[in-house]
Order: sequence, then structure tokens, then C-alpha cells
Amino acid sequence: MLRRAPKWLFHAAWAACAVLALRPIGRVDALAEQALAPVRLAGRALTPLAELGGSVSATERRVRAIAAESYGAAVLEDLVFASLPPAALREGRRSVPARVLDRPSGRRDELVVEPWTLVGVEVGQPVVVHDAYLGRVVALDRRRGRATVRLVTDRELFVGAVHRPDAPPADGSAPARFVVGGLAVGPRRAGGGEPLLGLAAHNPSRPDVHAGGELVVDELLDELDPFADLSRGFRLGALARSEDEGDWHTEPLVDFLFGLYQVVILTPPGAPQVQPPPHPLFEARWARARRASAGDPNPARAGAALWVEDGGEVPLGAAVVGGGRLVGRVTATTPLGIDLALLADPGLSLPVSGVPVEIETPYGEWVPAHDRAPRVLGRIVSLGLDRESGRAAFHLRDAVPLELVGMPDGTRVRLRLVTGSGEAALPSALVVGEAVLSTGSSGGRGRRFLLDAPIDPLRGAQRLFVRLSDDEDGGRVAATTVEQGRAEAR
Amino acid sequence: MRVLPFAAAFGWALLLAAVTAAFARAAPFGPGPGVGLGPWTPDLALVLLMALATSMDRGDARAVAAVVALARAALGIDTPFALLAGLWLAVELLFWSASRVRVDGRFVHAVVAALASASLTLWLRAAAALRAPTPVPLERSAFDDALAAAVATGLVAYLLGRAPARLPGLRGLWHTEETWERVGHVRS
Repeated sequence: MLRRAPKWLFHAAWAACAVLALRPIGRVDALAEQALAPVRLAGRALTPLAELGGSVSATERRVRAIAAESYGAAVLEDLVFASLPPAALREGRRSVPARVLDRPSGRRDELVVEPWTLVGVEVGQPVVVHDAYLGRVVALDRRRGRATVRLVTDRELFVGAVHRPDAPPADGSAPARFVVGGLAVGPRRAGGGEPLLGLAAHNPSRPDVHAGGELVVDELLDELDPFADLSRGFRLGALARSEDEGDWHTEPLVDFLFGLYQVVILTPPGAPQVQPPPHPLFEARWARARRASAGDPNPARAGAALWVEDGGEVPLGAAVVGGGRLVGRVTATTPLGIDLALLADPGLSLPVSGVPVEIETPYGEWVPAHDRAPRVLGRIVSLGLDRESGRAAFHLRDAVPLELVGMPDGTRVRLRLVTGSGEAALPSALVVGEAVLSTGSSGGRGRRFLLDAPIDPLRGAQRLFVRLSDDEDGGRVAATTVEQGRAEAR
Repeated sequence: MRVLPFAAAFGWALLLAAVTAAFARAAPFGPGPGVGLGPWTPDLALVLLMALATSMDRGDARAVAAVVALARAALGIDTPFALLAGLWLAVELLFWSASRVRVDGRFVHAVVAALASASLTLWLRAAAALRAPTPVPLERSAFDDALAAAVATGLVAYLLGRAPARLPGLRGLWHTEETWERVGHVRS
């Protein structure tokens, strides 16, 4: 056919392929996957070649055992607990934890969340994480148990704020007031990297206000915000001003783009308390899967095909777990199964939290961490395999500094990384691996780190599960017992 | 009808791509499971394509490149569009070289295969980097990987020469039967 094709037709096809390779179009990619289904079936006949090369090494067994045993710990409960307001801000309020599911397409200033209950939840109620104000509930879907939250980064959402200076004014005058809402882009830091984003602060009530101190929510106009009392006192960030003495803004308390996994809706007290949902591995939203390829012929990629044995809709980006740990995310769905990008595949990205496990002392010894509360780290992106260590390297975009109480910047901390939520079909609290990071901030440049996780996580894995759509409830439970996890690790 | 030779080319390309994948990650060739030859893995399906294309006309070679792209797409997570564009680039590179030098010789053939492998590696890295949800600088220089792939693939192409084209079932792709009429026409 190509032999008889006009030269211009071949060149047009070539150019089209090149353009589609660099600028993907979702529907065209999906059509190509459908058309490729028969050849993929042929490719899966060669799966036994994947076992070439011996058994799992001792190092692999160690990291597998860590992952298998740690998923059963109370990671999810710790994540939720870390998101609850401190005791002083809990008085007169009821906290309803909610898991961030997704962002409506194209809207970075909105979140779709799944509260533990919708009893007592109403439109207009404030949404916070720990002591940081995030935004308000703008819509409820009681049938599906979802709520839509508009973030304070939206330029249409404003909230009144009061300035808490570092030292009270000498003349005893009233503190300055601001209106906060919308994004403010900070300066690009020395040495490159991304500019940090803060919240824009408008209309200061006094001209003599100085940078420093912080802004906290204090909405005076109850007719504009009927739940103003609930949000009063929550922090918006440290007050700062651009270098040219122009716009006011706050320094970020949370990573609004990639660091919102668990949030809390504040309601008036009185409604009943609720039981926490199960760990994501115990939800009936998983389908059993097994390996169906010999691996990727491109040495720079780390991918595999999987058979999905049960029915159900598998969305792009869905999590795949084996032995209680995350092994990768779905990159394509075909009539015969799914394609999977493993953790070492360059470009794979994940929202993660880190649970401190050990801290390095000034004498070089590693001691157990005194503070094991999970930290929201933000988005990590795989850089591929590090050839010297044989481990997957990652880039962390840290919008907020990593802090440990009583520890100076630069202290090395071993963290157990678990997934955060906020992306479709990627639940939180799945074990990713362990990594060593330093406290402090990279100033927008990001950090590189190596992950302790199985290099070939599919090797020897007996049970693989793929996450179904968040609307599916007819799947299986993916949890295995610690004993089964240990057996797999062996 | 030459469906069978093309089907055979698909089968061989699939097998060679799977062997390539195994070499890339198999423990005996690297520091551990999952880290085999890595970037030093020879692209055996590309070696087959180059061996076949040397003996074919340009149109048939493009068709075989499409078949090899299908075979690689069946196993990996690279987009089929990038594979197709990259392997067509390899074929065009071969025919461009053939218009200037004799590529029948083992050494020149290996050099062209090495160049094609380097081009394909760079192209697939670029496509993967641009399609990633959050593009970041890749871990090692793409040129280092391209050089390693070129050396490994070129070495295998030199050792095997055009032997892969003589694998069972592929003869119909490059051996054209002559008729008395055609021979007579050429002689006259």
C-alpha cells in the first residue's frame, strides 16, 4: 500500500505522526489504542520473557517488606488528624473531614471533595486544613456524596482579614484590615526555579501598615458570609509586599495547586459525629490485574501491560497496587487491559505526603523521629532510574518548606512517602517508598531525591489491583494481610 | 499477495523487541532486577528493519517500518505515533545514505544502523518528555543514552550484517522473482 502511495501522502502521514507524538490529542490516542488491541494481544504471548533474570534481590526484599507492613498502619488516620484544626480553633465548630477527589476540568480554583458525611454541611461553609483557610463550599451533590469547594485563590472569592503584627502597635490603634482573594505571583528566586504563589491582599484599611506578622480571617459583613463566625481566626499567611512597594500579598501556607489531599469543612456544632471511611485498600473500588507483557523495549521507559480480570471503568491515571504499595499509574486503557507507567518511568507524577521515620543527628546517627505527623510534600515527578544506585530518582516541587519542630533547616529526615489524593482514581495513603530529604525550602528550585522502592515492582508480585473510577462501588477489596504481604516479599 | 512475509516480519520484530526488553532489565546484565543493560541495550527490532530495508525499495521499506512500529507499540508504552515517525525517519536516513555511499558493506551498514538508533532514541526521549504531565529535565543527558544505544545497536548490526533478513519467512520481502520478459527487457 505504501509502495503505491503518492510521495506527498506519505510525507503528510509522517508529519501527522510527528505532530501527534509531540502534541497528544486524547481522542486520537484512544482510537489508536483501540486499533492496536489485536497486536497487543500478540505481544502478550511473550510475557514469560519478563521472568528472565533471576529472583528478587535482598535489597528488593527489604523495601518490599517495609511497604507490605506499613500500609496497614494508621497512615490515613494520621493524615486526617493532621488536617483537623488545632484545639483553640475547634471550639464552637464541628469538623467534617473530606477527601479531595479531583478538580473540575480546567478549574484550578475548585476542588471536588468527598466529605465523611453531608449531614449538617451547607453551601457557604468554610473549608480549612489545620489552621489555614482554604475557601468555601459552593455546591453540594447529595446523591453522590460530593461537595464542590471554591478556593480563596479564585479572584471572584473574597474574604475579610485582619492583620496580626509581630508586635502590637504602640499607640494602641486598631489593626489594619484587608480583603484577601485571588493569586499573587511572587518574584522568581535567585538561582532559578518557579516563582512562589501567594494570596493577593487588597484594600488595606490603613496606609501605615508594614509587612510582617500575618493575616487571619475576620469577616465583618455577616450578610455577605452567614458562616463568618466559623472561619474567624484561621490563617491566610504572612503579610508581605512586593519589592517595589506595590501589591500586598501573603506567603503561602499550603500548596494550593498540588498539596491539598485532606480538607475539613467547618459546620455549626450539633450534627452527629461520623465514623471514618476505611483505608482506600479496603474500599470495594479495585479490580484484580496481572502482568501481560515482557516489559518495554525502550530502555529509557519503565512500563508494562496488565490484564484486568474484573469489569469496571479504569480511568487514566488510576493507581495500581501490589502487596499494599503503589507500583504505578495507568497511561492507557485498551479493550484487552491497561498500560501502566511504573514509578521509574520518566515523567510519572504523584502527589505525596511524607511521614517522618528517622532523623539524622549532627553526629551522623539516625534516630527515630519524635514527630511522626505526616507532612504534605506536594507533587513529585519521576526522573527515571539513577544508574549509579539503581534507584528511581524524583524531582519534588516544594511550594512550602519541610519543617520539623525543633530541627534546624538542613536536617536530614527519612520519610515514608504515601500518596496524596486530589487526582482521579489515585487515593491517598498508598505506600510509595522511603526517601531522605532535608528540612527547609529549596526556594522554588525543587529538590532531587532517590526513592527506596522495588526497581521492578511487578517481579514476583502475586496480586495486583487497579483502582476503578471513584464512582464505582462494585469492585473488589485490594487489601492483603500483613502476613500475605510478607509472603510476597519473600 | 505478500501478506505472509509481512506477517512474518511482524512476528520476528515482536520477538526481537521482547528480547530487547528482557535484556534491558534482566538481572544478569546489570546491578539488579530491573536494571539490565539499560541504555546499552541493542535495539534488535531496528537491526532487523535496517537489514531488510537495505534490500528493499523505499515503499516496501516504509511498510516494514510500520510493521516494526506496530510490534514495538504492542509491548511498550511509547506512543505508536512516535514509533512510526521515528522508524520512518530511520528508513529515510538509510535511503538518503544509500544515495550517497554504498550501504551494502558491513561497516557502513553498521554505521547507518547506529545513526538510526541514536536518532530514534533521541526522538522517543523528546516525545516522552513533551507528553509527560509535568515536563522536567530528564535524569541523564539524552545524548549519552543515544550514544550508548548507537554503539550497542551498531555493534550488533556489524556482527550480524544482513543475516536477520534471511530469517525464516522474510525472503518474500526482499527477493523478487524475475520473469523472462523482464530480464529480456533489461538486457535489450
